[in-house]
Amino acid sequence: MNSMFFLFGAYSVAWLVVAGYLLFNLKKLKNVETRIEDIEELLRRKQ
Amino acid sequence: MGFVGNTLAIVKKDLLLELRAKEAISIMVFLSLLLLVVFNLSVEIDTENVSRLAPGILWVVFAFSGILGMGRTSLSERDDEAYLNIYFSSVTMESFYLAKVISNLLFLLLMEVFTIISFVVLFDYERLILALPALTLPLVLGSFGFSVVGTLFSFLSTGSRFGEIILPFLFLPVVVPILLGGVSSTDIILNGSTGDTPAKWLKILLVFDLLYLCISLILFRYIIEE
Amino acid sequence: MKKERITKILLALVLVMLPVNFYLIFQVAPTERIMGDVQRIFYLHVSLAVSAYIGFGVLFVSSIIFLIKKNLYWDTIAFSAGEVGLMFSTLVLITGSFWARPVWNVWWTWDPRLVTMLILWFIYIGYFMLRKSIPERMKKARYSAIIGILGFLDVPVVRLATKWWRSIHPRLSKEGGGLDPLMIKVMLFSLFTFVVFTIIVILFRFRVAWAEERLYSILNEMEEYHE
Repeated sequence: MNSMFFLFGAYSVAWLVVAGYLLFNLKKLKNVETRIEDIEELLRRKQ
Repeated sequence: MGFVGNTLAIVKKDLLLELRAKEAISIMVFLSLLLLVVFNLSVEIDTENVSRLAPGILWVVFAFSGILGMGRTSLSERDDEAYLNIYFSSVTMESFYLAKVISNLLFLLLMEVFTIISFVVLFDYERLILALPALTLPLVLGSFGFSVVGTLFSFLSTGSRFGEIILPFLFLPVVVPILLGGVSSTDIILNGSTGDTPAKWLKILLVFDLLYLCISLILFRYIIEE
Repeated sequence: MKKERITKILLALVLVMLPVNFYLIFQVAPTERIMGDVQRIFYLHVSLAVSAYIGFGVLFVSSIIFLIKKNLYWDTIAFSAGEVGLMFSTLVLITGSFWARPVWNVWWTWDPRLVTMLILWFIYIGYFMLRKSIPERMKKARYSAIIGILGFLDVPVVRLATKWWRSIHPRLSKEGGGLDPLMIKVMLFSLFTFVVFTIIVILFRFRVAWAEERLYSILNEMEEYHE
Protein backbone atom coordinates (compact mmCIF):
# COMPACT_ATOMS: atom_id res chain seq x y z
CA MET A 1 0.00 0.00 0.00
CA ASN A 2 1.27 3.42 -0.88
CA SER A 3 0.79 4.97 2.51
CA MET A 4 2.68 2.12 4.20
CA PHE A 5 5.73 3.10 2.17
CA PHE A 6 5.59 6.53 3.81
CA LEU A 7 5.07 5.10 7.27
CA PHE A 8 8.07 2.78 7.11
CA GLY A 9 10.01 5.31 5.09
CA ALA A 10 9.64 7.92 7.82
CA TYR A 11 10.72 5.62 10.62
CA SER A 12 13.59 4.20 8.56
CA VAL A 13 14.96 7.59 7.57
CA ALA A 14 14.72 8.87 11.13
CA TRP A 15 16.46 5.92 12.71
CA LEU A 16 19.08 5.61 9.98
CA VAL A 17 20.04 9.26 10.43
CA VAL A 18 20.16 8.99 14.21
CA ALA A 19 22.11 5.73 14.13
CA GLY A 20 24.50 7.19 11.56
CA TYR A 21 25.03 10.27 13.70
CA LEU A 22 25.73 8.20 16.81
CA LEU A 23 28.13 5.86 15.00
CA PHE A 24 29.96 8.79 13.40
CA ASN A 25 30.45 10.38 16.80
CA LEU A 26 31.49 7.09 18.38
CA LYS A 27 34.23 6.75 15.78
CA LYS A 28 35.32 10.34 16.36
CA LEU A 29 35.44 9.77 20.10
CA LYS A 30 37.63 6.70 19.71
CA ASN A 31 40.03 8.55 17.39
CA VAL A 32 40.32 11.56 19.67
CA GLU A 33 40.79 9.50 22.82
CA THR A 34 43.45 7.36 21.15
CA ARG A 35 45.30 10.47 20.04
CA ILE A 36 45.17 11.93 23.53
CA GLU A 37 46.51 8.72 25.01
CA ASP A 38 49.36 8.64 22.45
CA ILE A 39 50.34 12.22 23.21
CA GLU A 40 50.22 11.67 26.96
CA GLU A 41 52.38 8.56 26.50
CA LEU A 42 54.86 10.63 24.46
CA LEU A 43 55.01 13.34 27.12
CA ARG A 44 55.53 10.77 29.86
CA ARG A 45 58.44 9.21 27.95
CA LYS A 46 60.06 12.61 27.46
CA GLN A 47 60.07 13.00 31.22
CA MET B 1 26.76 64.24 29.21
CA GLY B 2 24.09 61.83 30.32
CA PHE B 3 22.81 58.73 28.55
CA VAL B 4 20.42 60.62 26.31
CA GLY B 5 22.99 63.28 25.53
CA ASN B 6 25.62 60.73 24.59
CA THR B 7 23.21 58.79 22.46
CA LEU B 8 22.03 61.82 20.56
CA ALA B 9 25.60 62.96 20.03
CA ILE B 10 26.50 59.66 18.38
CA VAL B 11 23.37 59.76 16.25
CA LYS B 12 24.32 63.24 15.09
CA LYS B 13 27.84 62.05 14.27
CA ASP B 14 26.49 59.08 12.28
CA LEU B 15 24.06 61.23 10.35
CA LEU B 16 26.76 63.77 9.51
CA LEU B 17 29.12 61.01 8.38
CA GLU B 18 26.44 59.47 6.24
CA LEU B 19 25.47 62.80 4.75
CA ARG B 20 29.03 63.12 3.55
CA ALA B 21 29.83 59.53 2.57
CA LYS B 22 26.36 58.48 1.53
CA GLU B 23 27.50 54.86 1.58
CA ALA B 24 24.67 53.10 3.32
CA ILE B 25 21.92 55.27 1.95
CA SER B 26 23.00 54.97 -1.65
CA ILE B 27 23.21 51.19 -1.43
CA MET B 28 19.76 50.98 0.12
CA VAL B 29 18.12 53.36 -2.28
CA PHE B 30 19.57 52.04 -5.52
CA LEU B 31 19.11 48.44 -4.50
CA SER B 32 15.45 49.03 -3.66
CA LEU B 33 14.88 50.62 -7.04
CA LEU B 34 16.63 47.73 -8.78
CA LEU B 35 14.62 45.17 -6.83
CA LEU B 36 11.36 46.81 -7.83
CA VAL B 37 12.37 46.59 -11.47
CA VAL B 38 13.44 42.97 -11.09
CA PHE B 39 10.17 42.14 -9.38
CA ASN B 40 8.20 43.53 -12.25
CA LEU B 41 10.26 41.63 -14.78
CA SER B 42 9.72 38.35 -12.98
CA VAL B 43 6.21 38.83 -11.61
CA GLU B 44 4.10 40.73 -14.07
CA ILE B 45 2.46 43.48 -12.06
CA ASP B 46 -0.63 45.04 -13.58
CA THR B 47 -3.53 47.12 -12.32
CA GLU B 48 -5.38 43.97 -11.33
CA ASN B 49 -2.85 42.37 -9.04
CA VAL B 50 -0.85 45.38 -7.86
CA SER B 51 -3.00 45.79 -4.76
CA ARG B 52 -2.50 42.21 -3.73
CA LEU B 53 1.21 42.11 -4.47
CA ALA B 54 2.27 45.54 -3.19
CA PRO B 55 2.51 44.77 0.56
CA GLY B 56 4.65 41.67 0.05
CA ILE B 57 6.95 43.21 -2.54
CA LEU B 58 7.45 46.38 -0.53
CA TRP B 59 8.37 44.63 2.70
CA VAL B 60 10.72 42.18 0.99
CA VAL B 61 12.48 45.13 -0.65
CA PHE B 62 12.62 46.94 2.71
CA ALA B 63 14.17 43.89 4.36
CA PHE B 64 16.77 43.19 1.69
CA SER B 65 17.87 46.75 1.00
CA GLY B 66 17.71 47.44 4.69
CA ILE B 67 19.96 44.66 5.81
CA LEU B 68 22.58 45.29 3.17
CA GLY B 69 22.64 48.98 4.05
CA MET B 70 22.87 48.28 7.76
CA GLY B 71 25.78 45.96 7.16
CA ARG B 72 27.68 48.93 5.83
CA THR B 73 27.17 51.10 8.88
CA SER B 74 28.95 48.74 11.24
CA LEU B 75 31.76 48.30 8.74
CA SER B 76 32.74 51.95 9.01
CA GLU B 77 33.11 51.45 12.73
CA ARG B 78 35.29 48.39 12.35
CA ASP B 79 37.68 50.06 9.95
CA ASP B 80 40.45 51.57 12.11
CA GLU B 81 38.59 49.98 15.00
CA ALA B 82 36.96 53.35 15.58
CA TYR B 83 34.46 51.82 17.95
CA LEU B 84 37.21 50.97 20.41
CA ASN B 85 37.61 54.67 21.13
CA ILE B 86 34.05 54.66 22.30
CA TYR B 87 34.88 51.75 24.58
CA PHE B 88 37.40 53.85 26.43
CA SER B 89 35.32 57.00 26.61
CA SER B 90 32.51 57.76 28.98
CA VAL B 91 29.93 56.63 26.50
CA THR B 92 28.33 53.35 27.48
CA MET B 93 27.86 50.37 25.19
CA GLU B 94 24.14 50.75 25.46
CA SER B 95 24.29 54.35 24.38
CA PHE B 96 26.48 53.46 21.41
CA TYR B 97 24.18 50.65 20.33
CA LEU B 98 21.01 52.69 20.74
CA ALA B 99 22.50 55.51 18.71
CA LYS B 100 23.34 53.09 15.91
CA VAL B 101 19.80 51.72 16.03
CA ILE B 102 18.32 55.19 15.75
CA SER B 103 20.55 56.28 12.88
CA ASN B 104 19.91 53.01 11.03
CA LEU B 105 16.20 53.51 11.63
CA LEU B 106 16.34 56.93 10.02
CA PHE B 107 18.22 55.56 7.01
CA LEU B 108 15.67 52.77 6.68
CA LEU B 109 12.72 55.14 6.81
CA LEU B 110 14.33 57.32 4.18
CA MET B 111 14.85 54.32 1.92
CA GLU B 112 11.29 53.16 2.50
CA VAL B 113 9.71 56.47 1.59
CA PHE B 114 11.83 56.52 -1.53
CA THR B 115 10.78 52.96 -2.36
CA ILE B 116 7.12 53.80 -1.88
CA ILE B 117 7.36 56.79 -4.17
CA SER B 118 9.19 54.69 -6.78
CA PHE B 119 6.53 52.02 -6.48
CA VAL B 120 3.76 54.54 -7.08
CA VAL B 121 5.55 55.88 -10.15
CA LEU B 122 6.62 52.55 -11.64
CA PHE B 123 3.34 50.74 -11.13
CA ASP B 124 0.87 53.60 -11.30
CA TYR B 125 -0.49 52.75 -7.87
CA GLU B 126 -1.62 56.02 -6.33
CA ARG B 127 -3.53 54.42 -3.51
CA LEU B 128 -0.19 53.78 -1.85
CA ILE B 129 0.67 57.46 -1.51
CA LEU B 130 -2.80 58.28 -0.22
CA ALA B 131 -2.40 55.56 2.39
CA LEU B 132 0.99 56.85 3.52
CA PRO B 133 -0.25 58.57 6.71
CA ALA B 134 -1.99 55.38 7.79
CA LEU B 135 1.12 53.40 6.94
CA THR B 136 3.37 55.48 9.18
CA LEU B 137 2.87 53.33 12.25
CA PRO B 138 3.55 49.97 10.54
CA LEU B 139 6.56 51.47 8.80
CA VAL B 140 8.06 52.92 11.95
CA LEU B 141 7.39 49.88 14.13
CA GLY B 142 8.60 47.46 11.47
CA SER B 143 11.70 49.45 10.61
CA PHE B 144 12.54 49.85 14.26
CA GLY B 145 12.50 46.07 14.63
CA PHE B 146 14.63 45.70 11.50
CA SER B 147 17.08 48.19 12.93
CA VAL B 148 17.31 46.62 16.37
CA VAL B 149 18.08 43.18 14.96
CA GLY B 150 20.01 44.39 11.93
CA THR B 151 22.35 46.64 13.89
CA LEU B 152 23.20 43.91 16.39
CA PHE B 153 23.70 41.26 13.71
CA SER B 154 25.73 43.53 11.46
CA PHE B 155 28.27 43.94 14.25
CA LEU B 156 28.30 40.16 14.65
CA SER B 157 28.81 39.44 10.99
CA THR B 158 31.43 42.06 10.25
CA GLY B 159 33.48 40.50 13.03
CA SER B 160 33.57 37.18 11.24
CA ARG B 161 35.61 35.92 8.34
CA PHE B 162 32.64 35.67 5.97
CA GLY B 163 31.77 39.25 6.72
CA GLU B 164 28.56 40.78 5.47
CA ILE B 165 27.76 37.76 3.32
CA ILE B 166 26.39 35.93 6.30
CA LEU B 167 24.27 38.85 7.42
CA PRO B 168 21.04 38.29 5.42
CA PHE B 169 21.14 34.64 6.41
CA LEU B 170 21.21 35.49 10.11
CA PHE B 171 18.83 38.41 9.80
CA LEU B 172 15.92 37.18 7.71
CA PRO B 173 14.74 34.17 9.76
CA VAL B 174 14.74 36.22 12.95
CA VAL B 175 12.70 39.11 11.48
CA VAL B 176 9.97 36.86 10.05
CA PRO B 177 7.46 38.22 12.59
CA ILE B 178 8.17 41.75 11.34
CA LEU B 179 7.66 40.69 7.75
CA LEU B 180 4.39 39.02 8.63
CA GLY B 181 3.26 41.98 10.74
CA GLY B 182 4.33 44.60 8.25
CA VAL B 183 2.84 42.86 5.22
CA SER B 184 -0.42 42.02 6.97
CA SER B 185 -1.01 45.50 8.37
CA THR B 186 -0.07 47.10 5.05
CA ASP B 187 -2.39 44.73 3.27
CA ILE B 188 -5.30 45.58 5.56
CA ILE B 189 -4.65 49.31 5.21
CA LEU B 190 -4.46 49.15 1.43
CA ASN B 191 -7.07 46.54 0.68
CA GLY B 192 -9.30 46.41 3.72
CA SER B 193 -10.28 43.11 5.25
CA THR B 194 -13.21 41.25 6.72
CA GLY B 195 -12.91 41.39 10.47
CA ASP B 196 -9.17 41.94 10.77
CA THR B 197 -7.63 45.22 11.92
CA PRO B 198 -4.08 46.48 11.60
CA ALA B 199 -4.04 46.91 15.38
CA LYS B 200 -3.59 43.20 15.94
CA TRP B 201 -0.46 43.16 13.79
CA LEU B 202 0.89 46.39 15.20
CA LYS B 203 0.72 44.72 18.59
CA ILE B 204 2.98 41.91 17.41
CA LEU B 205 5.41 44.44 15.96
CA LEU B 206 5.44 46.35 19.23
CA VAL B 207 6.03 43.19 21.29
CA PHE B 208 8.83 42.14 18.98
CA ASP B 209 10.43 45.59 19.08
CA LEU B 210 10.36 45.88 22.86
CA LEU B 211 11.52 42.31 23.45
CA TYR B 212 14.41 42.56 21.05
CA LEU B 213 15.41 46.05 22.12
CA CYS B 214 15.73 45.00 25.75
CA ILE B 215 17.67 41.85 24.97
CA SER B 216 19.94 43.48 22.40
CA LEU B 217 20.81 46.28 24.81
CA ILE B 218 22.01 43.64 27.24
CA LEU B 219 23.80 41.49 24.67
CA PHE B 220 25.54 44.17 22.60
CA ARG B 221 28.44 44.63 24.98
CA TYR B 222 29.45 40.99 24.51
CA ILE B 223 30.26 41.73 20.90
CA ILE B 224 32.54 44.62 21.67
CA GLU B 225 34.38 43.38 24.72
CA GLU B 226 37.56 41.47 24.05
CA MET C 1 31.11 9.62 40.00
CA LYS C 2 27.55 10.77 40.28
CA LYS C 3 27.37 11.93 36.69
CA GLU C 4 28.53 8.56 35.39
CA ARG C 5 25.87 6.80 37.42
CA ILE C 6 23.09 9.05 36.16
CA THR C 7 24.29 8.58 32.57
CA LYS C 8 24.32 4.80 32.98
CA ILE C 9 20.83 4.77 34.48
CA LEU C 10 19.47 6.94 31.68
CA LEU C 11 21.17 4.80 29.06
CA ALA C 12 19.67 1.62 30.50
CA LEU C 13 16.30 3.31 30.69
CA VAL C 14 16.46 4.36 27.05
CA LEU C 15 17.57 0.93 25.85
CA VAL C 16 14.47 -0.54 27.47
CA MET C 17 12.05 2.20 26.55
CA LEU C 18 12.84 2.38 22.86
CA PRO C 19 11.77 -1.17 21.97
CA VAL C 20 8.78 -0.87 24.28
CA ASN C 21 7.88 2.35 22.50
CA PHE C 22 8.07 0.62 19.13
CA TYR C 23 5.81 -2.12 20.34
CA LEU C 24 3.30 0.42 21.66
CA ILE C 25 3.30 2.44 18.45
CA PHE C 26 2.89 -0.45 16.06
CA GLN C 27 0.93 -3.03 18.03
CA VAL C 28 -0.95 -1.32 20.82
CA ALA C 29 -2.00 2.02 19.37
CA PRO C 30 -5.27 1.75 17.50
CA THR C 31 -5.50 2.52 13.79
CA GLU C 32 -6.84 5.95 12.98
CA ARG C 33 -10.19 5.83 11.27
CA ILE C 34 -9.62 8.30 8.45
CA MET C 35 -5.89 8.32 7.81
CA GLY C 36 -5.12 4.71 8.51
CA ASP C 37 -1.79 3.38 9.68
CA VAL C 38 0.15 6.33 8.25
CA GLN C 39 -1.04 8.32 11.23
CA ARG C 40 1.47 6.35 13.33
CA ILE C 41 4.16 8.64 11.95
CA PHE C 42 2.78 11.15 14.43
CA TYR C 43 4.23 9.44 17.45
CA LEU C 44 7.64 9.82 15.90
CA HIS C 45 7.10 13.25 14.37
CA VAL C 46 5.79 14.96 17.49
CA SER C 47 8.41 13.29 19.71
CA LEU C 48 11.17 14.45 17.38
CA ALA C 49 9.78 17.99 17.58
CA VAL C 50 9.92 17.92 21.38
CA SER C 51 13.47 16.60 21.14
CA ALA C 52 14.41 19.43 18.79
CA TYR C 53 13.04 22.02 21.20
CA ILE C 54 14.88 20.43 24.11
CA GLY C 55 18.13 20.70 22.16
CA PHE C 56 17.53 24.35 21.43
CA GLY C 57 16.39 25.05 24.98
CA VAL C 58 19.64 23.64 26.32
CA LEU C 59 21.54 25.73 23.76
CA PHE C 60 19.68 28.81 24.95
CA VAL C 61 20.34 28.29 28.65
CA SER C 62 23.96 27.25 28.13
CA SER C 63 24.60 30.32 25.97
CA ILE C 64 23.36 32.60 28.72
CA ILE C 65 25.47 30.84 31.34
CA PHE C 66 28.48 31.03 29.04
CA LEU C 67 28.17 34.79 28.58
CA ILE C 68 28.04 35.19 32.35
CA LYS C 69 30.76 32.73 33.36
CA LYS C 70 32.98 32.86 30.25
CA ASN C 71 33.79 29.18 30.71
CA LEU C 72 34.10 27.27 27.43
CA TYR C 73 32.52 24.24 29.11
CA TRP C 74 29.14 25.93 28.68
CA ASP C 75 29.79 26.86 25.08
CA THR C 76 30.62 23.22 24.38
CA ILE C 77 27.36 22.11 25.92
CA ALA C 78 25.60 24.76 23.88
CA PHE C 79 26.84 23.72 20.47
CA SER C 80 26.53 20.01 21.26
CA ALA C 81 22.89 20.48 22.19
CA GLY C 82 22.42 22.75 19.19
CA GLU C 83 23.80 20.15 16.81
CA VAL C 84 21.54 17.47 18.24
CA GLY C 85 18.60 19.89 18.07
CA LEU C 86 19.41 20.65 14.45
CA MET C 87 19.51 16.96 13.55
CA PHE C 88 16.16 16.31 15.23
CA SER C 89 14.50 19.32 13.66
CA THR C 90 15.70 18.21 10.22
CA LEU C 91 14.03 14.89 10.90
CA VAL C 92 10.86 16.67 12.05
CA LEU C 93 10.65 18.41 8.70
CA ILE C 94 11.35 15.20 6.77
CA THR C 95 8.92 13.01 8.71
CA GLY C 96 6.36 15.79 8.42
CA SER C 97 6.64 15.61 4.65
CA PHE C 98 6.34 11.83 4.75
CA TRP C 99 3.10 12.25 6.64
CA ALA C 100 1.73 15.12 4.56
CA ARG C 101 2.18 13.45 1.17
CA PRO C 102 -0.12 10.43 1.60
CA VAL C 103 -2.64 12.28 3.77
CA TRP C 104 -2.92 15.70 2.16
CA ASN C 105 -1.34 14.93 -1.18
CA VAL C 106 1.27 17.67 -0.74
CA TRP C 107 4.87 17.54 0.42
CA TRP C 108 4.59 20.69 2.50
CA THR C 109 1.92 22.75 4.26
CA TRP C 110 2.21 26.25 5.63
CA ASP C 111 0.99 25.06 8.98
CA PRO C 112 2.19 27.45 11.75
CA ARG C 113 3.98 24.71 13.64
CA LEU C 114 5.87 23.56 10.57
CA VAL C 115 6.76 27.11 9.54
CA THR C 116 8.05 27.81 13.04
CA MET C 117 10.19 24.69 12.94
CA LEU C 118 11.52 25.66 9.50
CA ILE C 119 12.44 29.16 10.66
CA LEU C 120 14.08 27.74 13.77
CA TRP C 121 16.00 25.36 11.51
CA PHE C 122 17.32 28.30 9.50
CA ILE C 123 18.31 30.15 12.65
CA TYR C 124 20.39 27.25 13.84
CA ILE C 125 22.00 26.72 10.50
CA GLY C 126 22.97 30.38 10.85
CA TYR C 127 24.36 29.62 14.33
CA PHE C 128 26.70 27.00 12.93
CA MET C 129 27.60 29.08 9.89
CA LEU C 130 28.62 31.92 12.19
CA ARG C 131 30.67 29.55 14.33
CA LYS C 132 32.43 28.25 11.25
CA SER C 133 33.32 31.77 10.13
CA ILE C 134 35.11 32.75 13.35
CA PRO C 135 38.44 31.07 14.06
CA GLU C 136 39.16 32.44 17.54
CA ARG C 137 37.71 30.15 20.19
CA MET C 138 36.37 32.71 22.66
CA LYS C 139 34.99 35.07 20.02
CA LYS C 140 33.28 32.14 18.30
CA ALA C 141 31.64 31.21 21.58
CA ARG C 142 30.57 34.76 22.45
CA TYR C 143 29.10 35.60 19.06
CA SER C 144 27.26 32.33 18.60
CA ALA C 145 25.88 32.61 22.14
CA ILE C 146 24.19 35.85 21.08
CA ILE C 147 22.56 34.11 18.13
CA GLY C 148 21.59 31.20 20.35
CA ILE C 149 19.83 33.50 22.77
CA LEU C 150 18.08 35.72 20.24
CA GLY C 151 17.12 32.80 18.04
CA PHE C 152 15.43 30.87 20.78
CA LEU C 153 13.45 33.92 21.95
CA ASP C 154 12.26 34.38 18.39
CA VAL C 155 10.43 31.07 18.42
CA PRO C 156 7.28 32.07 20.35
CA VAL C 157 6.97 35.30 18.38
CA VAL C 158 7.28 33.46 15.05
CA ARG C 159 4.75 30.91 16.28
CA LEU C 160 2.24 33.60 17.23
CA ALA C 161 2.74 35.62 14.07
CA THR C 162 2.39 32.63 11.75
CA LYS C 163 -0.67 31.43 13.63
CA TRP C 164 -2.37 34.79 13.12
CA TRP C 165 -1.18 34.91 9.53
CA ARG C 166 -2.61 31.52 8.80
CA SER C 167 -5.98 32.42 10.27
CA ILE C 168 -6.36 34.94 7.43
CA HIS C 169 -5.50 32.37 4.79
CA PRO C 170 -7.22 29.26 6.04
CA ARG C 171 -6.03 26.13 4.42
CA LEU C 172 -5.78 22.47 5.26
CA SER C 173 -4.08 22.20 8.60
CA LYS C 174 -2.79 19.02 10.11
CA GLU C 175 -4.70 17.70 13.06
CA GLY C 176 -2.94 17.06 16.33
CA GLY C 177 -2.68 13.61 17.86
CA GLY C 178 -5.81 11.51 17.92
CA LEU C 179 -8.52 11.99 20.49
CA ASP C 180 -8.55 8.31 21.34
CA PRO C 181 -7.38 7.97 24.98
CA LEU C 182 -5.16 5.01 24.14
CA MET C 183 -3.45 7.09 21.45
CA ILE C 184 -2.82 9.82 23.97
CA LYS C 185 -1.21 7.34 26.35
CA VAL C 186 1.07 5.98 23.62
CA MET C 187 1.91 9.54 22.59
CA LEU C 188 2.89 10.45 26.16
CA PHE C 189 5.08 7.39 26.44
CA SER C 190 6.76 8.28 23.14
CA LEU C 191 7.38 11.79 24.34
CA PHE C 192 8.88 10.55 27.60
CA THR C 193 11.06 8.07 25.74
CA PHE C 194 12.37 10.73 23.40
CA VAL C 195 13.04 13.21 26.18
CA VAL C 196 15.32 10.68 27.87
CA PHE C 197 16.80 9.70 24.51
CA THR C 198 17.58 13.33 23.65
CA ILE C 199 19.32 13.87 26.97
CA ILE C 200 21.49 10.80 26.37
CA VAL C 201 22.39 11.88 22.85
CA ILE C 202 23.30 15.41 24.00
CA LEU C 203 25.43 14.01 26.84
CA PHE C 204 27.19 11.73 24.37
CA ARG C 205 27.78 14.47 21.82
CA PHE C 206 29.12 16.67 24.62
CA ARG C 207 31.54 13.95 25.65
CA VAL C 208 32.91 13.81 22.10
CA ALA C 209 33.12 17.61 21.88
CA TRP C 210 34.84 17.95 25.23
CA ALA C 211 37.38 15.28 24.30
CA GLU C 212 38.15 17.30 21.16
CA GLU C 213 38.56 20.43 23.28
CA ARG C 214 41.03 18.61 25.50
CA LEU C 215 42.95 17.40 22.48
CA TYR C 216 43.18 20.87 20.96
CA SER C 217 44.27 22.47 24.20
CA ILE C 218 47.01 19.84 24.63
CA LEU C 219 48.14 20.41 21.04
CA ASN C 220 48.15 24.18 21.58
CA GLU C 221 50.20 23.81 24.73
CA MET C 222 52.71 21.67 22.87
CA GLU C 223 52.99 24.24 20.10
CA GLU C 224 53.75 26.92 22.64
CA TYR C 225 56.38 24.68 24.22
CA HIS C 226 58.19 24.26 20.94
CA GLU C 227 58.49 27.98 20.39
